[in-house]
Amino acid sequence: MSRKKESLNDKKTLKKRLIRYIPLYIMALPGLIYLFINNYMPLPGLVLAFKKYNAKKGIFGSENVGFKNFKYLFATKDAFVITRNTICYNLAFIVVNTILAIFVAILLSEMLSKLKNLYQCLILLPYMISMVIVSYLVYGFLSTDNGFLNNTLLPLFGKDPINWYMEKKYWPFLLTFVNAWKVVGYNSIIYISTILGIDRGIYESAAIDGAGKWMQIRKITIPLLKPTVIMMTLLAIGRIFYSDFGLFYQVPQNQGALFAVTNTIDTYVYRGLLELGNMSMASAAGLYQSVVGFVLILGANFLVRKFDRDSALF
Amino acid sequence: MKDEKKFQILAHAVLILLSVCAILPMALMIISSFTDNDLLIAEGYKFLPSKWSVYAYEYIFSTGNSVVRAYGVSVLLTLVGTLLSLSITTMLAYAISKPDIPGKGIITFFIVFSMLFNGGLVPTYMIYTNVFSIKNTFAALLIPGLLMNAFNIMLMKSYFVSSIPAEILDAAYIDGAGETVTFLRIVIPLSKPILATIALFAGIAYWNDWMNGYIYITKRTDLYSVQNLLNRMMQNIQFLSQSSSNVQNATAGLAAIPLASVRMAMAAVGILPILVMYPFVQKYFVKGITLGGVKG
Amino acid sequence: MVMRKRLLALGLAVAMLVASFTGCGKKDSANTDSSKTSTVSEATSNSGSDAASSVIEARKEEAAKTGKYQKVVVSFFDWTGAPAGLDRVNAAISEHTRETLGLDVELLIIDSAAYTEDIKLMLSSGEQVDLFSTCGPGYMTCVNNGYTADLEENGLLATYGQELSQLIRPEYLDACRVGGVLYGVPPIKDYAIQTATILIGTEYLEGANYDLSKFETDELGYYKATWDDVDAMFAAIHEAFPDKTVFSTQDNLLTQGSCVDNIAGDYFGTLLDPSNSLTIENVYESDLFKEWADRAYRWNQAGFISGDALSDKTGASARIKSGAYMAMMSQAKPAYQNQINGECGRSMTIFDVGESFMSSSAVSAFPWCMNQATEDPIAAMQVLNALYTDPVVANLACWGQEGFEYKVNDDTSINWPDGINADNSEYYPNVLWLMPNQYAAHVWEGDPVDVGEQTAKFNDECPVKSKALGFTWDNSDYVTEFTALKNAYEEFGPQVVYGFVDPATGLKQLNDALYAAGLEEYMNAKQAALSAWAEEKGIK
Repeated sequence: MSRKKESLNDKKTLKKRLIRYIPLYIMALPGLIYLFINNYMPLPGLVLAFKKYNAKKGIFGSENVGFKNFKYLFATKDAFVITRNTICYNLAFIVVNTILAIFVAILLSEMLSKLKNLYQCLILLPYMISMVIVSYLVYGFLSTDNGFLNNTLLPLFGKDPINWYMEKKYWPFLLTFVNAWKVVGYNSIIYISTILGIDRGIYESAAIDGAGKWMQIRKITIPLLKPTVIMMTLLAIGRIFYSDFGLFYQVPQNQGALFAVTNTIDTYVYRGLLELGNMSMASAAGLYQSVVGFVLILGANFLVRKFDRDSALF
Repeated sequence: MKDEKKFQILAHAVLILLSVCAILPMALMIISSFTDNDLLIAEGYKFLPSKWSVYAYEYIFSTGNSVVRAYGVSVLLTLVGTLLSLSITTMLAYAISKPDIPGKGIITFFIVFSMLFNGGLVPTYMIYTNVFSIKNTFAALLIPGLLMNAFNIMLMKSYFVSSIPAEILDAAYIDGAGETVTFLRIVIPLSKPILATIALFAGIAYWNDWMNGYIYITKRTDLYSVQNLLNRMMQNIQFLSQSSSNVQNATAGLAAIPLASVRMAMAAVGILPILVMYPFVQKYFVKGITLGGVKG
Repeated sequence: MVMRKRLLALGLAVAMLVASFTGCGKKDSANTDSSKTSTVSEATSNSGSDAASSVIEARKEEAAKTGKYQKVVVSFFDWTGAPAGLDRVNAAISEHTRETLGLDVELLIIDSAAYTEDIKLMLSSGEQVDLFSTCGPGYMTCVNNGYTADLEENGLLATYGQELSQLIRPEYLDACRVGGVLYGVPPIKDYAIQTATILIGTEYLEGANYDLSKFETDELGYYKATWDDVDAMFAAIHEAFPDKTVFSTQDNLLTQGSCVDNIAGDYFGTLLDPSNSLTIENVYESDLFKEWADRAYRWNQAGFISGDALSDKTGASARIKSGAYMAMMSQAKPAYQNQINGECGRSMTIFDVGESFMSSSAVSAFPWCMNQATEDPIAAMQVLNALYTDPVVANLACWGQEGFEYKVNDDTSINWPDGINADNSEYYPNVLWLMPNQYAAHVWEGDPVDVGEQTAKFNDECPVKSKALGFTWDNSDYVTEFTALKNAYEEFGPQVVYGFVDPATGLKQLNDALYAAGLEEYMNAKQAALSAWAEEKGIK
C-alpha cells in the first residue's frame, strides 16, 4: 500500500521535474544532435570489421568473414608484447601525468607573482608541437654522433657516449618523460580550473584556524580535486588499449632494436596495414581497442560507484 | 607566513626548471629552422650553429599556396569553432550536471559511449559527404569531429557538480527563477575558470587540426588552414624526396628543397602566432576569472 | 544510386540506337589531329570506330538538347594540390573533348600528401571519379578493395579504346591482369631499371687520386665496376677524407642493389633468379644476402657507415649534398647523370655494379584504373583512350596550356615562356612518370627529343626480365603472417643490412624471427599462387 503511494509520488515528481527541466533538455539538444550525427550515424560502419570489404558490393553487401579480421591481432607471439607494452605505458602515463599535472596546477594556482602567467604559457607550449617534430628534436638530443647529450652533456660529466637508439633500457623512461613533457601543461590546466572553482572562504577560515600552507593543500585542495582525478582516470582507462602512434613509432625512429619496449598495438598494426590498405582489418583493430576500453571503463565505473557514488561517470 | 614564503620560493624553483625543460627543445626547433640545411644534416641539430640561413622561411612563404591566407582561414576557423563548441558543450554539460534531471544516466552513457566507439573514417566520411554534402566547404573544417567531444563535456559537468554550490541554485529556484535564467545569470558567471579552459582546449584543437582539411578539401585550396597547408607541404616534400628517382630533369631544382630546416620552420610558423596571442588571451581570461570570482 | 545508374545506361542505349539509325557518324574524330597515332588509327577496324563514334554523336545530340555536357572526372596527384590554373586547363581540355568526344573532362588533382587517403574515400563513398591513377593507394590495394572496373567487360577496351589497346603491347597489358581480369592500363614509361649503381662524389675520387682509367664503360656510358673495386675506392676516399662518412645508407638495399624479384610486392619469399626460375625462396638465407651482410659489416667495422645510420631518416642524396657523406647506392636509367648531380649538389661519378632488371611488378606498379561505380564506362574509356593517344589532351594534362605554361621551341621541345618558372607557373603537376603517356606530349628542353624511343629500347634490351612479369597475388588471407613478418623484419633486418651486427649471429636472429612469424606458410601460399599462375600462362 505504502509502496504504491510512493511510486505514485515518484511519478508525480517525475512529471514535475520533466516540466521544470524542459529548458535544459532544449539546451542539451544541439549537443546531442551533434553527437548523434558525428558519432552514432557512422556506427553501423563497424560491421566492416566482420567483412571482407569490396567496394563493388558496398560496406553492408560485402562478404561476411566472422572474426577472421581479428586473428592477426592475437595469432602470433607478438600479441603478448604489444598488449603488455600498450597497457603498461598507459598505466605509467596515467600515474605520472596525474601526479605531475596536479603538482604543477597547485604551484601555479597558489603562486602570487605575476610570473605565473608566463610559466603557464611556457609549460603548455610542448603540447602545441606535433610528434613528428618532437621526434626530430629528440633525435637532436640523442643522436649517436651529433646529439646534444653525447657531444655536450655527457662529456661534461666525464661519461662515455651512449648509443641511445640501440639500448632498450632507457626507452621506457624516455617515452614516459617525453609524454609527460608534452601533456602535463595541458592536463594541469584542467586541475587549475578546478582549484580556481574552490571557494576561497574555505582557505581563509582554515588559515584563521592556524592551518599552514602545506596543511591547506593537503587537507583542502587535494581532497577537492579527487572527483576530477577519478573522472580523468576513468576516461583514460577507456583508452587504455590505444597508444599515441607518433610517440611510439616516430620518436624511437621505428628502431628495430627497441621494439621490445616500443611496439604497441597501434604501431604493430600500422607496420602490417600501411602497405595493404585493408580497411576491414584496420576497423577490426579499432573495434577491439574500443570494446576492451568499454569493458574496462564499465568495470572501473562500477567499482567507483561502490565506494564513491558521486564520482562515478554514470 | 614563513610557510607561504617557502612555498613561493619552491614554486618558482620548480616552475623555472619545468619552463626550461619546455623552452630548450623549442629553442632548438627555432634555431634549427634558421640553420643552414646542409649543416643540419652534416652536424646535427645545434644550439649554436656555425652557419645561419633564412632560406627555409623564404621557401615556405614563396612557394605555392599563400601562408598568409591560410592564417586567415585558421584564425576565422578557430574563433567560430571555439565559440560554437563552447556554447553547445556548456549547455549539454549543464543539463547532465543536474543530479535529479530525468534521463541523466542514459544521456551520460550516450555521451561516454561516443568517446569509446566510432564508426571509422570511411563511414564518417560517407555520412558527411553523402548526407550532409559538406565537402569542399568551410563547414567541413568546422564540424567533423571537432565541434564537441565527450571529454570536454565530462570535464565541464564535473566542474558544475563540484564547484557550483547546490544551495545557490536551490535558492534561485525557490525565488522563482526559471532554469534558463539560473543558467545565464548564476551558473555562467560562476563558471569562468572552466569556460576559459574549455575555450582554450577547443581553440587549440581547431588551430592544430589538419585532418579535416586533408579529407574534405580536395578542390578549394583557398580553404587550407595553416596546419593543413604546412602538413601538406611537409609530406609532399618528403614524398618528393623519396621518389626523386622518378622526377624529371626539368625539375632538378626540387632536390634543393631544404627538408630538414623547412620542417622546423614549419613547426615554428604553426606555433608562433599562438606564442604571440597567448599572453593577450590569457590576460583576458584571467581578468574574466577574477572579475567573476567565486566569492560564494 | 544504382537506380540512377540504370536509368542513365538506359538513356544511353536509346541515344545510341537513335544515333545509329540516323547514321550521322563522324568517323574517328578523336584522332584527326593526332600525328603520332595516325598510323595506329588507320589500322583500326571499322566496326569498333563506328560504335565509338556513334556514342560520341549521341552525346553531342544530348548536349545540344540540354545545353549540358556529360563530364568525366580524372584524378591523380601532384606536389602542391589543385594548381591555380586548373580550371583554365580543364576548360581547354573540355573545349577540345566536346569536339572530339562530346563530353567535358575534369582533372581532379590532389597533392601527394592527401591523395592516397582521399582517393580511397572517394572510391568508397560513390563520389564521381571515373578514372584514377593508382600511384599512391597502390594497384593491388585498389583491386583487392574492389574499386576497379573490368576494362574488357563487353569489349570495352577493344571497342572504345582501340588506339590505346594497340599502343600498349599485349605483354605489358597482360602484366596488369589480376586473376585474368584487366583492371588497369600501365603508364608508358621506363619499366626496367639499372640496379646497384654506386655513386661517388667526383671531387672525393680526385682528392684520393684514384685512377679511373682502368674502368670500361657500359651501354649507358657509366663505369663498369665490381664490388672489389668499390671496396678499394671506399678505402681510398676514407683515407683521404677521414672526417667524412663514406657511405650514405638507405633502407632498400635489396631493391636498389639486386635483381631479386620481390614478387607480389614484398621480400618474404622471392625469386632469386627471376629470369630463369619460378621457385620462391627466402632471400634472407641466400648467399646474395649473406654477401651483402658481410660487406655491410666489413664497411661498418672499417668506419664507412655512420653510427646514426639506423636512426637518421634523411635521404641518401640529401646527406651527400650536405658534404658530410661521400658515396651512395642508387638505380640508374637513361639520362640519369644530370639528375643525380642536381640532387647531390655536386658532380657524381657513376659506377655500374649490377644489371638492368625488370621485376614482376615493374609494369603493374601503378596503372590507370576506372572506378567500378562509374556511371558511363564507355565515356570513361574514351577519355582514357584520349589521354594516351590524343596529343592535345596529353599536352594539356602534362604541361598545361601553350603560351601560359610553356612555349614550343623549333625542335618541338618545350620550355618556360618568358617570366614563368616552376614557382609561379599556374599548372605544373610535375608527375610525368605517372601520366598515361608522357611521350604523346612534348619533351622538355634538355631531354632528348627521342626519349620515348630510348626508353622503349632500354625496356626491350633489359637482360634480366622476370619470368613472373605480371604475376600478382592477393595476400589478404595471410595478413596475420604478413603483419608479423613486417614487424620481425623491421626489428632484426635493418641492423644486418647496415652492418651493425655480425652476420654470423644477425642473420640467424633475423631468420629465426621470420620463421617464427610464419614465413614458411607465407612462402608456400605464394608459391602455390605462382605455380597456378604459371600453369595457366603456360610458363615453365
